[in-house]
Amino acid sequence: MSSLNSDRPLSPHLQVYNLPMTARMSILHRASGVALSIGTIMVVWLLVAVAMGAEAYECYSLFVGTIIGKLMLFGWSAALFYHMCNGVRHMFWDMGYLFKLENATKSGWIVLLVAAALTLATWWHFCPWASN
Amino acid sequence: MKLKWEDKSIQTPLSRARGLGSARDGSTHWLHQRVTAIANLILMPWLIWSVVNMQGWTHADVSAWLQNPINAILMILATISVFYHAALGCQVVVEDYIHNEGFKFAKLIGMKLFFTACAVACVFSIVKIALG
Repeated sequence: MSSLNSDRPLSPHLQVYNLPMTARMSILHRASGVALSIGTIMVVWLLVAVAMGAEAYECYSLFVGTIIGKLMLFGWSAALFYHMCNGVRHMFWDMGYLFKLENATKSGWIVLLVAAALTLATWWHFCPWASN
Repeated sequence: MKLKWEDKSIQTPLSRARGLGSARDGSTHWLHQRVTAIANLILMPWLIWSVVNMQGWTHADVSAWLQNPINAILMILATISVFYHAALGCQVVVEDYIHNEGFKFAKLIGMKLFFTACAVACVFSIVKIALG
């Protein structure tokens, strides 16, 4: 008979279960992938606008110059760097490495740090205090 | 050595040798996802840097940049690879989370058409700009 205070593991219930860091990163990989699929429309807009002419490009350029446009571009680059770094982690799994829980967690932190560093390095160029 | 269940398998020896499974696709989807991932790993850092760097550029600046054959070729490769990768990834997300057959089917078809349109729009625009 099972009892309420047995030590047997409970199946994780998504609404109350505190997801471990590796599980959060896993779902973030999917979420960032879907977000990137939508976000890359910015690149389609850029290319089609340039092909259509100076006026259409002006419209794109004005939008990207606004704070919303800049935030979207920043989010796009951050999501891409995260998805890219975590994709490399997935390739290590495909080759059979990093399956130990501590290695999965450690490589997760490395991914987060490298993705943040790459995003900041890309945007450092545009900081008001950085000399261009 | 023969496994016990193989005696009762309804698979023909030919289909077992082909190893493509019931979807007749085998590991093609998985493999294409990985191959485009490796291509993206090379092309995307370049694309992020280029697009972020383009802020404030005029129409003439972007046109001249795309008229450089190296930039045009890399941009064509990047857009094809990224939209193929996106189509494969979104397909898995839809298959996993949408359980209504009709809606799922419509969503899968719509996504394929959308990503194909994005890739074609990008490639045509790049060629038009590059050839001036």
